[in-house]
Amino acid sequence: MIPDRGVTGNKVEPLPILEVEDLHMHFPIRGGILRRTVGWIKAVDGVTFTIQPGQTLGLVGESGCGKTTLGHTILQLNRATSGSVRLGGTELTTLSQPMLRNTRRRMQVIFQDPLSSLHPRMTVGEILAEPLEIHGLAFGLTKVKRVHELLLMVNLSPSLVSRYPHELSGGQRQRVGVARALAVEPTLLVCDEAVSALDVSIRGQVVNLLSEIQSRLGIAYLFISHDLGIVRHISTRVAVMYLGKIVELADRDTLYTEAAHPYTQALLSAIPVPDPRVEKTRKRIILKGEIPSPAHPPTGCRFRTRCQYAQEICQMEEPLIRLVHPGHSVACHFAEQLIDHSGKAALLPT
Amino acid sequence: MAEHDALVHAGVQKPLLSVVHLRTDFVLANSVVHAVRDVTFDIYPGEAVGVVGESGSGKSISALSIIGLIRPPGRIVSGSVTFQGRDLIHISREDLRKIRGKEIGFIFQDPMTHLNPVLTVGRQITETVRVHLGLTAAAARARALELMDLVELPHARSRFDNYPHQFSGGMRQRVLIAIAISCNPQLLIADEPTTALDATVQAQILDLINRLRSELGMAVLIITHDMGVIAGIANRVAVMYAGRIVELANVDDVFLRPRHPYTSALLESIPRVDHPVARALYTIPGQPPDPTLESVGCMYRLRCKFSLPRCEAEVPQLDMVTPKHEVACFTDISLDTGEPAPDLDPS
Repeated sequence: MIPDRGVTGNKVEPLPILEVEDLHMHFPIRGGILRRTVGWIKAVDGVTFTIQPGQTLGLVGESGCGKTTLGHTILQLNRATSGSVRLGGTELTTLSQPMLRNTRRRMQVIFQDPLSSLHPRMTVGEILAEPLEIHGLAFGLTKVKRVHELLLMVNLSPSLVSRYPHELSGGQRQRVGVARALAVEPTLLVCDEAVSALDVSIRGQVVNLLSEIQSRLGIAYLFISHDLGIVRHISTRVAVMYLGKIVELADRDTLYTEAAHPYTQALLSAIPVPDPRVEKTRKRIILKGEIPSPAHPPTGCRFRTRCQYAQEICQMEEPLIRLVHPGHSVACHFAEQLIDHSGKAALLPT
Repeated sequence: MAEHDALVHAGVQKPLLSVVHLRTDFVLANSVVHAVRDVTFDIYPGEAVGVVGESGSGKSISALSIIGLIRPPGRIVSGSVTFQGRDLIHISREDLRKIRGKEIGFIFQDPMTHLNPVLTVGRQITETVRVHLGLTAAAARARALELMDLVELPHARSRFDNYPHQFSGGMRQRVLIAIAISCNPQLLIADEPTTALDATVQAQILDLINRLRSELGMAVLIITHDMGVIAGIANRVAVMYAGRIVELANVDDVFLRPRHPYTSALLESIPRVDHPVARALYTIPGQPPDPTLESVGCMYRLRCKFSLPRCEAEVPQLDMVTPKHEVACFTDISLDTGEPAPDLDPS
């Protein structure tokens, strides 16, 4: 049931920086005048994966699939219902608040909207100095030097220190967000839709910056996004989430060319390609309906209500995520048969 | 499409909508935002025209200007909008209201803010046909149910009396589409219709718009920032930058033979899932110009690798490079050898 440990074939990989095991995050639904719990939203419902140092795990899925909640639960912004999150070997879910504060230095987050995640009344310099002060990393002149260094690291001019967030462009703000995250020298960076709000011409600059920083500092990324094009560009491995569960997890190239889960195949076929020849000839899998409510997920396989291959067994029995090839896990009863109907056919012009 | 082109060329087919030198400003306390600086294009009956550009390029404001939805501090400074021979800028509000929603339907990015939360969906669909077509309550209800089937809203009868919050995002967009097409408009304006939707739902909605266009024979003006969406739906494409159309051509020409440096850079910036993964994403240096600046020369010149001295002095106008391909640029990038082209006309 742990398809994803450090051993692939004969090669032994280094210890993962992040290990998430059977993680659950359930939120109560309260109702009636007594506000009793009448049900549960199972936003994250049994998720297991690892991230190696210096690598990027792309996490994709549609709105409401639980990808943001998963990110928050890993960061301990939510306390998990059950399961374990280990960062560099340290179990986080049982840590006390003061201990957690120390650990937070090692994992940082950048959000989608930099304007609402930067304090409007703090200058860029203050924003970058604050984490240094809180974690006692630098004071006085060293602090000023470090702030300059951080700005240069994200390709911003140090002359911006006295500016306020509203005086910056969207791309510049997101760079400040990245610099703030880097200030405390994390080993894991959670990027939650970090470039989704940016225009195409600006987005590339920030994505390249993230890649550059990763190769220079060896930080691991959990890159959460609904944009499969960007995720393919930046990720080492990719996990696809549907209704609180990971339905497929594979190396980047495997996922984009040999997708086995019908949901992954549909997602890939729905990516608009900026080429009218491809758009005219490709076969698109149009899914019926929309993502069901996580309060009442379908029995058995959660995807069966929208799946074109659904059989009786899919209603009776929940498919567990399992290895179908080394480094490629899928949660589908028919993964082996479906792997041939791969995304390759849908995407690449023949 | 070829037949359609032939008709257009022979001058047999008149444009349904003509926008000429449209200019829209927003006058703020201490600055003027030049949202639309100069936009000229036609839409012919039955065709799908895509307008693509980044935020602030003026694509949405152009659409709002066409249907007279610019409110102060915004105002149309100059230019004309002609729909089937009628001037939409100098028309009375009353007459415009008769065209809007009836002959020109429109859908927006966020269906929730364009639906009334306290009225049932059925009521909102029937309202349009009752006002514009003068149908009786019973006839309007029948028409509404028919429309709900047409846009594939499941269980139309039982969902007729539901409120917008009881629908998902994709279903709300279908409701908005049902309202937009309720009077069989000749033109449907869709402003970022799928931007707020998930990829799989986006595919459903684009599929629906495509199908309705061919079934109802209406023209579609689709506005989006997503080149991929445009490639799948448009016959002709206008690329906007800083309030101007910089390139206007058939979809194949824009995507396969772009002639404006911005179009070509934009296409290169998108990581393509059907291409091998590049080491680094292609990026356009700098950022879009401040919309409050007066236009001096080409607005793209500071980010352009082909810029010439002339680009600073003169605003390049949309010019035909082939009969169906218009470009606003002094350089012919199809001759690109990697080096900036020599200045052919230094005057």
